[in-house]
Amino acid sequence: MMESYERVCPKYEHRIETAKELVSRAREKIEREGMPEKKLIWLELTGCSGNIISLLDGADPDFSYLITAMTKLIYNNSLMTAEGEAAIDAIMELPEAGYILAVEGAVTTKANGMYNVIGRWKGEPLTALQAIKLLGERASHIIAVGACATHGGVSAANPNPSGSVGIQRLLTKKVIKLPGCPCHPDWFMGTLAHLLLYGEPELDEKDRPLMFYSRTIHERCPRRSFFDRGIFAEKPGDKTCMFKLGCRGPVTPADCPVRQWNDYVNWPIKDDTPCIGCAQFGFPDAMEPFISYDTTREV
Amino acid sequence: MAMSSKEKCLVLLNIAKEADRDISLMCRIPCIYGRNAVSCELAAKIKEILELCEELAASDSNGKNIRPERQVQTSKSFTAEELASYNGKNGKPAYVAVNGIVYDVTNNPAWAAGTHFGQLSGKDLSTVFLSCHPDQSVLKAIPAIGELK
Repeated sequence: MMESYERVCPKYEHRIETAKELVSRAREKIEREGMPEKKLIWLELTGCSGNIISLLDGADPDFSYLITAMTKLIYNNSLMTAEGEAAIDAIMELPEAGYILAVEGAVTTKANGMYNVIGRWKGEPLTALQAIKLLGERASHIIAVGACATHGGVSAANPNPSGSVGIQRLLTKKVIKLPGCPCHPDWFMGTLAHLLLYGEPELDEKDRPLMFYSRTIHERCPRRSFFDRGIFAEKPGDKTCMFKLGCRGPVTPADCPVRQWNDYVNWPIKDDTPCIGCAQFGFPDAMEPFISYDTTREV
Repeated sequence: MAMSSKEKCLVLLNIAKEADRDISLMCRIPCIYGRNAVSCELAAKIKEILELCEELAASDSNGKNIRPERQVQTSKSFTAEELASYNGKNGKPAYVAVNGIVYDVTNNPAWAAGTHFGQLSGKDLSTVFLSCHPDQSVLKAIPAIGELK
């Protein structure tokens, strides 16, 4: 249910439409200028596939729009019908800069990458480690989608038995980073559309697009006035600031307060549970504990 | 090149005018997100004003700047064992030490649950702090409440 301020604020509505506006412009450009659709490869490496699921939940624009109007999605192991070596062959023969590479999941490095085999090629197992090296440097642009591809994320959580790392560690080419667990579909769609229209979006010092990651959750939190006046929640479900429960909104740049999730209807703090900092580098280890009752307030 | 006192005063005047405009804007913005964004800008301007005022106040009679030492609010000293008890648990405040000075991070928004990017309060975090914040400017906004023995 929309809060009253969500219904009347034009800035709020504008924020939600960032991705949609960019995607719409990209489509118009493709139709007007006859620009050929850019090929898109989506690699799922050492992860949970949460980011492709998130992308499939995209509302406006939605996934079908992405693959029918914006790009030619030529590889995604969860969605494509081709299988086995035939599926891999299709992407190994692409020309240099002939595709945009979107990667979710980290890359395992121990045991020569054999902790994560994503397919077979030329009769041999194809590891995530091999795939990122073969496909990464030849892509026109690389987008790391989600916490694991961006910085290791959950796959690299302590003690990291598989030696998982973010994909930038293995590539010299710049990787545009979209942290989040998962990445919001708008963050990916908007970044992709910007690439098609205008090239690389403006990035911060950690290669995150400023249009989605410039402000912390704390700076735009509807409960900010409670924080400023020292009125703190004692448990999830309370309607006041959850700083004393361990909320990581102050250290997490993301636009969750305005964009929200699942067709823009809700997000953790609106649902009375603290932010766990899933869109910040270091998640999950650096953001723990996700919730704490034994804090600076006497219990 | 370092600014003269007059140049600093002119900069202060401009920042103060912008801050005044921000305050007027906040009274007119209906949206909480807009107000929050402007209040963050205003906070940054106030911080700049404070820094410039400190520099001006610390100038000697020849107009040279003397960098003021970090002002510690009390003369309390902590041993490492005493500091360890201020770990932000069970109602205790959260303190951390950096370069011999003890800071109170209890109500610092970046230290929810008395932790910060995996670092625990109640400890001397000098080494890890310098590896993440080489310019140390973030310390200016945190209350310094004592010294580490």
